Amino acid sequence: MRRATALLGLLAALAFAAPAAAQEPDARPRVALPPAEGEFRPGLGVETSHELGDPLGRPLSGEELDRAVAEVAADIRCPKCQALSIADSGAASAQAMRAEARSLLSQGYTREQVVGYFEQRYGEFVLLQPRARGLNLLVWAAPAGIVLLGGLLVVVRLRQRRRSADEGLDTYLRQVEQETAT
Amino acid sequence: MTSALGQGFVLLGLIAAGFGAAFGYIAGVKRSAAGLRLTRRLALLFAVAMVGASAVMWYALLSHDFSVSYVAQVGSLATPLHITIFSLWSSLEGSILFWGLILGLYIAAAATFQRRGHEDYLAYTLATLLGIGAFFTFLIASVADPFAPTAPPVPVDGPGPNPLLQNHLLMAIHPPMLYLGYVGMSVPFAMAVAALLRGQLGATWLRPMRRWLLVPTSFLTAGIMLGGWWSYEVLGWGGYWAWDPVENASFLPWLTGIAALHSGIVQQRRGTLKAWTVILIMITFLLTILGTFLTRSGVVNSVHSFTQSPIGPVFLGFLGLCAAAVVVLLALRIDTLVSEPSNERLVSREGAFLLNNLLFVSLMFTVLVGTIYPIVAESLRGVKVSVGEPYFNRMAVPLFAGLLLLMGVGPALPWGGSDPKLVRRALVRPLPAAAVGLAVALLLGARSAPVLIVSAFAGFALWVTADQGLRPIRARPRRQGGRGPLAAVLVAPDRLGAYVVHLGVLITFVAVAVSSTFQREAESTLRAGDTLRLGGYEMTFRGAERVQEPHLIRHQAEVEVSTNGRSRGVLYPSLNIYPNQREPIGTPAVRTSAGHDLYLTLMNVGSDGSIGLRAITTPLVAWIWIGVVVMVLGTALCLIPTAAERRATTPRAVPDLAASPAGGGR
Amino acid sequence: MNRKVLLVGVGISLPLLLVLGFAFRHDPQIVESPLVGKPAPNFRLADLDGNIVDLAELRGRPVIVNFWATYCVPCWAEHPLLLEGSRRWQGEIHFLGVIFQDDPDLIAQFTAEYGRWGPSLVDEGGRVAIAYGVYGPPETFFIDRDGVIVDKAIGAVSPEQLLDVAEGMLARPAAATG
Repeated sequence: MRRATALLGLLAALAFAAPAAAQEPDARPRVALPPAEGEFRPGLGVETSHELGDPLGRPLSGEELDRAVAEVAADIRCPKCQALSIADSGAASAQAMRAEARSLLSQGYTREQVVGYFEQRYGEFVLLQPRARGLNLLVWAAPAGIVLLGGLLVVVRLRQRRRSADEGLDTYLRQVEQETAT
Repeated sequence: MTSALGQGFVLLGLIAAGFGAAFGYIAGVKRSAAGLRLTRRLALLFAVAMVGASAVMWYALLSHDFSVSYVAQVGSLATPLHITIFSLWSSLEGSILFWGLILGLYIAAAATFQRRGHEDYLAYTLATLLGIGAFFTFLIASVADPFAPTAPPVPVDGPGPNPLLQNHLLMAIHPPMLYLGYVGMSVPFAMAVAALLRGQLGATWLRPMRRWLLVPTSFLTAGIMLGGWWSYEVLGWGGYWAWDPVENASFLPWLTGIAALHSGIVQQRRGTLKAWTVILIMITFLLTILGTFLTRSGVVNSVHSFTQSPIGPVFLGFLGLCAAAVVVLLALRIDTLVSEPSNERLVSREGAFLLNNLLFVSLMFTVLVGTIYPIVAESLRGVKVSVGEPYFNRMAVPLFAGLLLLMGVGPALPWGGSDPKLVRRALVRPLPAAAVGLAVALLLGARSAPVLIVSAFAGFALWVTADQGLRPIRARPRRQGGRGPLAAVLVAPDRLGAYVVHLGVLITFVAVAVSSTFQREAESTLRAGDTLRLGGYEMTFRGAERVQEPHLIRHQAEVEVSTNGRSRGVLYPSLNIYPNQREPIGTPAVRTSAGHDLYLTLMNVGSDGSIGLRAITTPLVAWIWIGVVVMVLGTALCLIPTAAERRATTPRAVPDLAASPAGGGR
Repeated sequence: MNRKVLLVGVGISLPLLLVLGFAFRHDPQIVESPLVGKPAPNFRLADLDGNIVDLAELRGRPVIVNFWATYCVPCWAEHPLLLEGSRRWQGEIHFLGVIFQDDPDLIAQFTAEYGRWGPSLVDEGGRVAIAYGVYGPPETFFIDRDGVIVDKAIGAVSPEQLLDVAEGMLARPAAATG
């Protein structure tokens, strides 16, 4: 009963004051660019070491940093888009994630730590290549398995055909029989 | 009123297809000429009904008749005329109706052009096609009814089609091409069913089947390419292929369709691989249905997919039914298709074809597994995972490289391959071309192993393709007694056509390899007058303006592009805002040249008039599209009848000469 | 009857069809957060007036953190509900809004017009959103007295979920200090 009244109150709030109805669609795209690296205000945001532990690598910079950022970004799915990585996407959240990856890599976190951080927060879904463990091994082993299995079939077939070609005349006669029978 | 008329046509189509399928099957069993005639009439009636239904829908769209639910869903008074025309296929129900229209046209074509020399199979072929037609008209009449009357009150205006589809004219031709490819696969499938039911598979089946397979494969090629182009020109991320589930879905039947085309050649030349060709064709058809299911059921995450709808389970049921029918039919009848005896070696033309089929099928399985693995993982592990571009690139690139190698080695090898000296010579002669390919790549600054390998393979394949393709023309003085090159080609246009297709594949292949390896990009926030530099380009932001158009508001940035201080023109990347959609949609501006593309995307427009600009240079992008055009032209060449066929189809019908094992002497 | 063909055909197509059939039970758009049941990532952010909010200092009272933006339609839809909730549990639950990729001026305008249910925190660079693994606005995290994320809403939060989770969090005393 108490729950029902409380719920009614909350529902009423929804029914009577909907700013959605009043809001004019504004024409300006309101997507703010994330600030470039190093512009974060000190002391605000999240405390990196608290979230990720200590960096396990050495700080990167310059071209090496660019390459590492590109590598990490190509493996992370842009959360707002479909099938695109944060390297490819221009969406604001993808830009923010690239900036975060850059900042972490420049502080000495390893690629694996950065990728692991995104995975820990967004779930396995954010990895564009599933980790090769457990059931996921299926998706990694399948292509090679199919090529090997198919290759085996091709070899067996060639063997068989060569043997049967030796008895070629027999087969030919059998086939003529069959075709005339239908 | 309009609703009732449209529904009437759909019902007519359903009746014609249902009865046609039944009569066609009976006519096939009884080999009844009268039954076949009746089936053909019903097939034509089905086509008429589909054309009628589509015409009614177009009329409703153009007259903004919002009492029809589909018009209320995708129509809008503000939408420009041409977009209104395309909106027939912009949403789920309409696209199924459009599918029905194309199926109707294919059925009519099959009933009309398939008469001569194919009567044995035709009744079963039409019965199968009309069976598929019955399913689609059933869909249109029930769960995906675009003609359903709108629940009152009838709106005075609608939301208009999905803005992504309004953004570019490519959207007008990309879906029809893809559908022509998808739906067209029903025809070879129906012919394969007929061959199994008849229990024979001779030359009168093979030649027309190849043709009916070539046409949809070619449409599929064009459709996939246009999809990539649309993605490139509209989505603004600078790429053309993201291994998105829906892209993969269109890729799957394409791979097996091409495998079937190749195994058909072996069948034609050696009389082997009959059962295998039939299996490939059937898989291709099943994959088109699977692809449609993935696109329309909302079970996968994709930018191209339609929203979730009740159509999914029905489609899955149809897929299951088709798969069951195919498996049972194959199990019952496959032993009736006996291959002729032949001695096969791995290092021979036949061996190359076998490996080609192995690689195509492996590629298909890889893409299939990657595409549906997220569903598997969620069902079994309860966790959402992604399988994306890095995975597919890693898996597919070696397989593609293998295919490229085969494209060079295969055509160079002699049939049979029994003479080792001949084999050795055939493989050694193109080696200098491979060296040239490698050298060119090194000179252009390529250092990564995959690029170098691809370049060498491409050089090899290019030499073999040119050598083989031009052989009839070079051999002309001796063989054709001094006739012109055109006449020499016309003896067997499909031979030249095949190598033209290979040439197109090579062009696209190299362009994809280079463009994906040497892409460069830069990104910055610019105020008016600021300049962004990338790869020799200076891009100066002149200012942004806000343009109000009837159905959208466009924020357009003026960016002057120059190299070495010389102006190269002005580009206008923009962000479009549609009144009914919240997220702004960017339209990139592209400057294309033979060497590379400059690609500008507007990322955002700040309140202070600054912009976020992303610039990408990608080499050789234009050649990807050019290569596909070459492929399509090559296919067109393949469709010209050979000299032997032309003789065979003169009024006094003579037995199909092209069919004899020695056919064509090529 | 070719048994080999039958077996291979059934062996490939049946599992495929079953998998596809299972797919209907899931919504591809909803991704479960791995953070539920884990300690909430700590953050220090300034609101529009420059006041600093430190999540760790709010320990002992449940916190509802809502990532939102003015361009997001479901955010408008849930706005009155959050207003009502912040009124109902005033002094019992902290309501914090974190701005997701939006212009602070527009946020100020919006809250001035439609009411304010908690501080609107400026997340520079979207780093807090990343730490919380936010896919898109609105997302709501329910953090209990001990600083553990007990639930998460994707899209506009429903009155039922708000009520149930909020009362559940209030009913449990803090484990450590109380």
